[in-house]
Amino acid sequence: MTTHPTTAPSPAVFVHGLSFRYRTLDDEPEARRKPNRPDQQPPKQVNAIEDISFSLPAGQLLLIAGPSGCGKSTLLKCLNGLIPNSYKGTLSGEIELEGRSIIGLSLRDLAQQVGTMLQDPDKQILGSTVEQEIAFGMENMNTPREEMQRRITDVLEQLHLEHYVGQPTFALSGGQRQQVAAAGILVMQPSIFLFDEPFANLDARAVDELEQLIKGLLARGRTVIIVEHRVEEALRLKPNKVLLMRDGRQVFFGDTMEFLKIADPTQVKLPVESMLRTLDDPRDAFNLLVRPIITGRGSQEKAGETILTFEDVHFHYNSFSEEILHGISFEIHRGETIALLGPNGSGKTTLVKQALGLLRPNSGTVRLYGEDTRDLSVAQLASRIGYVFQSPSAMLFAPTVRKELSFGPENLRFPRERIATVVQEAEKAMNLEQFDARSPFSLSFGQQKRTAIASVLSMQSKILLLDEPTAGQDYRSYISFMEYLRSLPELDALLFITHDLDLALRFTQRVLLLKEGNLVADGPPLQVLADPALLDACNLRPTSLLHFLLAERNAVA
Amino acid sequence: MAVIEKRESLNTKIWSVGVRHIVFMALGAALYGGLSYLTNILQLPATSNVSFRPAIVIPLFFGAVFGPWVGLFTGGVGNFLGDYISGYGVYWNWDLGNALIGFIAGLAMYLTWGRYNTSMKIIIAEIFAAVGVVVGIGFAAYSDIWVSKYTVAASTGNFVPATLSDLVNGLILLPILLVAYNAAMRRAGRG
Amino acid sequence: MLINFPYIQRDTPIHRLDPRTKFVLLLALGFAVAQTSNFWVILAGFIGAAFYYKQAHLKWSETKRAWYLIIALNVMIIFVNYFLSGGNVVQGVDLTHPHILFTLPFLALKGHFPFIGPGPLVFSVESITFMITQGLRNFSIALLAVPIPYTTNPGHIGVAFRGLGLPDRFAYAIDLSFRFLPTVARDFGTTLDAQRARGFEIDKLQGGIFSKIARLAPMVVPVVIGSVVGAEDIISAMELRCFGVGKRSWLVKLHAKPVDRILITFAIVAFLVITALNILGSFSPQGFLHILHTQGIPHFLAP
Ligand SMILES: Nc1ncnc2c1ncn2[C@@H]1O[C@H](COP(=O)(O)OP(=O)(O)OP(=O)(O)O)[C@@H](O)[C@H]1O
Ligand SMILES: Nc1ncnc2c1ncn2[C@@H]1O[C@H](COP(=O)(O)OP(=O)(O)OP(=O)(O)O)[C@@H](O)[C@H]1O
Ligand SMILES: [Mg+2]
Ligand SMILES: [Mg+2]
Repeated sequence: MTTHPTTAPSPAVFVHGLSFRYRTLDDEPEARRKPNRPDQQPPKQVNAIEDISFSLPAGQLLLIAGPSGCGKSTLLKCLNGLIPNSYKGTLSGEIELEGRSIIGLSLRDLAQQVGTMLQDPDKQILGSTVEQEIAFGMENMNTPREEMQRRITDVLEQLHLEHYVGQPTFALSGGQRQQVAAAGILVMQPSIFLFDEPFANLDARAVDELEQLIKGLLARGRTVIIVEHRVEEALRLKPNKVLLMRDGRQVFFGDTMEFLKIADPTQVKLPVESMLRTLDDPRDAFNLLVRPIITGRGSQEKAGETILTFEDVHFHYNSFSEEILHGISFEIHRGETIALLGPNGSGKTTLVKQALGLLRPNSGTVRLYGEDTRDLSVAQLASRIGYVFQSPSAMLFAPTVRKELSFGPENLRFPRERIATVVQEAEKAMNLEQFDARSPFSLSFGQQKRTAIASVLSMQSKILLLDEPTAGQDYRSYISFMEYLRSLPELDALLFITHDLDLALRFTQRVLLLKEGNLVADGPPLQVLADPALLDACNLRPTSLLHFLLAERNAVA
Repeated sequence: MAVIEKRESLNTKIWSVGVRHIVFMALGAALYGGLSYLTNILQLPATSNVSFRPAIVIPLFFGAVFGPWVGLFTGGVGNFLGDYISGYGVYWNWDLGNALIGFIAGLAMYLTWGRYNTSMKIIIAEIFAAVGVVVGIGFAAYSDIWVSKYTVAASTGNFVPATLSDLVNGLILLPILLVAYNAAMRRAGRG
Repeated sequence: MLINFPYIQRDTPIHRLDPRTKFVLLLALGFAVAQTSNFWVILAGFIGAAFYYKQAHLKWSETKRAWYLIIALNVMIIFVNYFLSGGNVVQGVDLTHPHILFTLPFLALKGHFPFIGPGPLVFSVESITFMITQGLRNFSIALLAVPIPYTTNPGHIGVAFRGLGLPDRFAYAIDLSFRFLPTVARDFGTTLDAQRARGFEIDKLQGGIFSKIARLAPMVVPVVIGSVVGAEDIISAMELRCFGVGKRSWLVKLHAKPVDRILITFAIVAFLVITALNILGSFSPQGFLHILHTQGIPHFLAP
């Protein structure tokens, strides 16, 4: 291997000319023997990452940014040894950690050096109880029980998690799981930490806790690498270096300041300032950024008429559990686009499920187009109000996209020719025509997401509810996704649940703010979100966009 | 340097038990136990007869795709879990019978390599699955002749309905799952 | 949450037992009573099991779902067994001539076409005793089987099987499946809601049995494929924390107390004695060694 200029202390991470190509299933011996069948795509020979080179001194923070599919996770897999130990493929280039080349090192050896936090804490957590989860790694290293006990108590107080002892991991909230997962890695005492998109679907409080954790690691001299396309959040950690990737290639490596100069705000989520920089006239930024989606235009009925009413809705899941919704009342009028905001566990999902009768209020009433939903079955309700769940994988099942989209209409007993037309329209709206005959499972996450929405649109419901429509997508694809919603066929109203302030600010005219089962605010985004105390109470963190828009508004006034 | 991985032989692919196998064992068992429990409490249309178990497809599927050992574990531990969370207790001969089902279904890998991209391979999986169900339920039912001293006739009275319902459920749902899995795996996984 | 474990945290003798002891007792009893139809031996087993069950302090309200099913199944199959055999067959014991009390006209299986026809249903001292013995046998097993889920912390099952000699990784897989159960249940609930939101009515499936089952696909496919695809990350998580590289230690420790040792020894000895008796019995045509091959019916009942 080539020698690199060994300036006094060797860097914590040194990568040179790193490339990797995954072995696709079609390269497998079995597939080799017979010619590829038409239904198989030819093996794609592209490298997932191509010629990556950077070096990071110990105790520093590196941010890796880039659009989805650009190879960020692949790069992390190379650093933590999953490549080549677990993922097969063709790897070339050099990686040195703390001056030692890691070529040929087993995962066991590397685990002492590198700790990795996967994106989804649900997948990361392997123990049924907090202790078992934290102990897992040490158990595999065959650590004596007493030693384990000692380290567990240490790490628990280090992260102030003592009060979780003995709790089942399943009962923990998203943020708490991140903490426990981190504890499970800390006990392995690695010197380099990798985080793959740690901020995805966490509310602001959880993000804060996580930032504290990472700052703590840096303070203790650990080296940290974060993959995150929510650059704005990540920048609050003041990364020393930024690595920007596109299509597996490294397009920038250097200091944060320079990065902000060259970065493209349509690719990654940047603070609004660097977005303004790209405009010749900052004054039209407002109109450029804030373009609420208008619904109910074409409908001949007079706009503004009430279509969905919640009257003093109370709900608890079962007679033992405590009440989740404490008397919610509000109305939705034709033509509105609404964002439902609130902390994790505040009851957003529980609330919207009431509208479809998936859950029924214990007291109070829900009216849909003036009818009491108590008198209607879920199927009947579903024909008027569509609900898209957060994860497309929860509903996709059919062999082809077309069959997937016709599932709903068939359940609603549409006549055959009508089914054909509604499926057509839905495919057009979400631009899925080219996938018509493909299996939904073979589509990318974003495409699956669109299929999920199309399969609800095809039921021709006039109201659409989306649960966290942009979760798990990178900035570019989620902006384009929200633009799709503009092109929806005529809806009476659109409501979506989100944790993302900017989404509410840019695409809606009305915000509902839910906190611990109470509706604490209801009004135009800028008006509701102008109150810092309220934001803080609801674990919402003001974004640079909010500050900017408020400033603009005051300037106008 | 370049890492060119060695090609694993068919036998290692089928009989080796790596980390991924462990995970799929646990997953399969949880799915089998959980689904058979849930379909019971949900009172599906045909659950009037106790032995209606769409979940039987789980050990068949996990066997066919991940091999005999995963199938064995999925069937055995899955059935154990199902009884366990329903609070019925532990009945070793039925656990063993279900383990057999998954194991035999897994032997299909000898002909299919665990990839089901052609209808021929799916038919093969179906055949092994059918054999598995007959043998597995057969073992469980007729072992009662010894365990509980039933007559052959009575055990048959146990065997026939259970087998039929499992065959119908399994053989209908298995191809659906295999097709979906094949499509999902297009978006490559690890070797 | 759709699944909650039946485990009830209490402090009873059975709760305090090492899980391994419970499994060993269950197996030993199962294999012992399988070897005889001697009423008295089975009765002894039943009484022992009943006493054991009593020690678990389980309330009827907690276990009744299980018992309803077990009782229904056993009663049904035992009667079916009796009628199908025309009350003749008595398994596992050699009896010279049955003492018939009375017979009823009934159907019986025939050796020739149409294989079933009118025949007597025999009620003999032997067959009735045998039927009762069967009932006692099954329920004695159930009495040991049922308490396990209610008195054993799910978190201890994996390490228990480890202690019973299962290799590390399989034992851990059992632990892991308990960890996955709540997730599976949650995914199932989500999918059910998602499909109902598309007008899917699982309780109103169309068509005959075949299309009914095919129409379960919207429920089964997302849950299974979703979790299989998601498993890739779990595998990474485990490998990154060195799973499967070598011998592993376990945080949870089971302590076998003296009482556990005693019980296990007792169970094994009892099992061995029964087995020995069973074997010897087949060589000595009568006398004490032969008891396991008799029903032990007192003489005044069957002169
Ligand atoms: N196991 C795999 N087998 C084959 N190809 C893969 C595999 N995993 C990822 N790829 C491909 O490698 C490329 C980079 O994937 P990677 O997951 O590293 O991107 P990413 O930047 O992490 O995307 P995201 O932001 O969505 O996580 C993509 O084209 C992807 O399709
Ligand atoms: N099936 C259920 N059974 C019992 N309690 C539940 C169930 N689902 C949710 N809860 C509880 O209801 C409360 C609200 O949950 P809900 O999912 O509505 O919150 P949310 O606002 O959607 O949170 P998030 O932003 O994380 O999606 C939480 O405390 C949760 O623990
Ligand atoms: Mg990634
Ligand atoms: Mg929610």
